Amino acid sequence: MYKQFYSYGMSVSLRYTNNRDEAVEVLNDGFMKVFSHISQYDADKNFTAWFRRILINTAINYHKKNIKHQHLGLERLPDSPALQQSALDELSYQETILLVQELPLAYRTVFNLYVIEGYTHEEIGTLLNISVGTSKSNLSRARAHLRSRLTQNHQEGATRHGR
Amino acid sequence: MDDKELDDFFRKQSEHPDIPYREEDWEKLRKKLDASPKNNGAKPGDKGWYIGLLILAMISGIGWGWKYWEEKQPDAVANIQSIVASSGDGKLTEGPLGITDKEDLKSMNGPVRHGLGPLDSPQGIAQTESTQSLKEETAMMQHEVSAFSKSMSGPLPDQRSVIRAVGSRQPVEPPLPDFPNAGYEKAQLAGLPDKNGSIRQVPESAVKERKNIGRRFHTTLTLAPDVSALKIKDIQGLGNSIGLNLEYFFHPKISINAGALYSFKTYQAGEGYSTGYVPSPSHVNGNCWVLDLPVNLRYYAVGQQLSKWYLTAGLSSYLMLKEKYDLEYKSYNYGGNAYGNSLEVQNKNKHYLNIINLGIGYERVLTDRLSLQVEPYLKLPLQGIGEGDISLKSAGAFVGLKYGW
Repeated sequence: MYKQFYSYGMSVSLRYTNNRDEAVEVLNDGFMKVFSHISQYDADKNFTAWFRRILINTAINYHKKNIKHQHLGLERLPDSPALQQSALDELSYQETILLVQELPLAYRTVFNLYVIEGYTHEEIGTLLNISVGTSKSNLSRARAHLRSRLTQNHQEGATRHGR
Repeated sequence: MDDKELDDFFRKQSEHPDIPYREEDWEKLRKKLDASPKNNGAKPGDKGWYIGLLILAMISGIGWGWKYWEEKQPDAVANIQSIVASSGDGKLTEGPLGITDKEDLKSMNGPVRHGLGPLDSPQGIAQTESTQSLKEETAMMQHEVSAFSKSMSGPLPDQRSVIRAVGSRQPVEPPLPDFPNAGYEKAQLAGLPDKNGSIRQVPESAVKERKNIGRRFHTTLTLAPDVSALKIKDIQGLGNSIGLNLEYFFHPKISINAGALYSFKTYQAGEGYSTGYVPSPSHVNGNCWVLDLPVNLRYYAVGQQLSKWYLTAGLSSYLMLKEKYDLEYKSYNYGGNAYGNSLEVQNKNKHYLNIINLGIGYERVLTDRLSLQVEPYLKLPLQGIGEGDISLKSAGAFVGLKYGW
């Protein structure tokens, strides 16, 4: 079971953590909860959805204190030139994850919950105990940061290519 | 690139994970599983460690109490046993001080001895029988002794042994620990002086009973209203408890209590409280039928013979007979619509010595054997309770009818 859902579980936990070690810790904590509460799993429903929620809850709890009180940087992001779709196509999964992990915890969590999981800002506010405005603001800053980093990567790649 | 394009890119990337499996990560989980509390014994600092210490303290307390009791038993008890050991065939046995009954009688003084003839002659006995005061005395004593006749295998003591006991001025009332109802027991068993100051016979069976003087054992039928909650503001509904408690006094003021309570606990919890559920529900309504097995120490701190105040502390084991939960989730994944789920488990969760019991109670003696107790209590879990691993606290007030054996 661990082997079967390892890749899926890591793909979720990597997005919510700062590095691979933390991701493994969240993944294993999630598996511990699965093993100890397997009786609560409804066999008629999708296991991966249940497992995903466990992992998200575990990751949020892992960083709960930090999410709310973390000092947020990125107050002034550089204006980035327009980013073309072709630039994104060059990115691997690994590079994408690294970009997400670069985000400050509060931005990263809101970005993941809103963009990947499909939560609303109201739901995120309740889950993280922050206001809707803060959630929106964090999402906006997360996007700006990612755009900036993608553009930067693209420019560095173009420079290397030109030499 | 607008927001939608950016979001779609990251969403798409997250759909195709290709993360190779690493054996070392499984090893980390395996170690975690091995180190989980369910797989390990108690270590210093663990809850199990403190429970062990508490049990050790209880055993030590019982041992100390036993020793205290033994030390409080004076030789007089043994003296009484030898005094009443005279046989029914008229032969006299040697007294505890090496003095024969005959010699002892010769040295007797006082109203009962007055008028008695020699005991070793028929005339002496006849003379004794003809004495009106002795007749009354004997009648009283026989009446008293008859109360114990059911427990005596042999015939009632003959007049010689009765006279022997009446005449004896042995200190038949040794100091006794003041166990509950001990005053009543002392009067009944130890042979208190009558109006004339004479000491009466102590039947052998009663002497044996002295070892259990003061009714060390008590049984209490207990009823209690019970409220349970994770937080005070969440209290809803009223549960109840019914059960029996066995109490043993190993010290005049301290007893050990064990019992069994069948309890119904009902509670609700809001979002964020029941984190044991995975995933966490936003609201829980729980009904639990629990067999509560408490082991407590009780200290009778303040009080007189008829009314006492006491403190109770100890640990309970919860055997969860049946658990029914109505769980309500807020689905963040599917449009934010709440959905519910029910959960019912039976005989699954057992929490041994996992609940702290605290209580302060009042006891009122009703008769020599019956007492009424009222004890507000608090039950605090050391670990999560039930299927949801929730911190379920309970409070209520035991009302008990206590019977001394």
